[in-house]
Amino acid sequence: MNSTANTISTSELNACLPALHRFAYTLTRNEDRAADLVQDCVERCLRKQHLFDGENLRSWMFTVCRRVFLNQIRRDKVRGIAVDMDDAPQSKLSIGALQEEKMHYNDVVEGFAELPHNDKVVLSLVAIEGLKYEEAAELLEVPVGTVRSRLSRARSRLRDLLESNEEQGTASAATV
Amino acid sequence: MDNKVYLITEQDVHAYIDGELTSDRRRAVENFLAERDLPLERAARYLRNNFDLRAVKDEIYKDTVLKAEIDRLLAKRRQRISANA
Repeated sequence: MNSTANTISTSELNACLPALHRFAYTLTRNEDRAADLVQDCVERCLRKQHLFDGENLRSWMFTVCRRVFLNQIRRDKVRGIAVDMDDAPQSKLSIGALQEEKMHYNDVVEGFAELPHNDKVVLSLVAIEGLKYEEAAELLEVPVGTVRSRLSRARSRLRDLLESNEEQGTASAATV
Repeated sequence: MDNKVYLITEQDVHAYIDGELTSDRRRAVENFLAERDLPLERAARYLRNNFDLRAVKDEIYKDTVLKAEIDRLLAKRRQRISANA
């Protein structure tokens, strides 16, 4: 590794931005928040560029983005802004965005309700209660591999249910 | 430099989301995701779904059958932890 490996060039950074923005948008589901997240993330990457190992900038930026997003969620939680059906995870949302957020949460609850019981149990243990795969496997008296495959299946099913809801929503919005 | 080649599976992406990977493997998954838009979007969705599910926990646990089972399993876990202490 040479001595310039740890600096980030503007052109490299710009090349990463479209993908980073898509990543941020999927996390935040809101154009303004995604733009803010990308901004925070870029600032942080530039401030911390001495920590970059010079190998894969895009990969490193996603790691930073994920971390910045987690910090935002935690910070909002501490402030008590987040997280029930009537509140959005971040402040300063427009009424339209708040409604969209609420509808999304409703979709999550409805989609989850349609999952098979085993899927609900494994997602509750890992995603909601934060158990490690090993712990979940012990409690359910199944091999860890079974927890992995159930989890993978449960998330795919939930994703399909949410996507079909989104499509229905778009279709009905288009007919108005 | 590390020259190991990892085969990344769908389950690795889930394990990444749930913080289950060693640092080597986590890096391999991050590199994999960084190069591919579709798995990356999927990973971001799963990550987001984790937050969403936690946010709507109270609504989800209105399913009394599910709630009873989770309570039973968590009680079993507490017993194990105190037995091992």
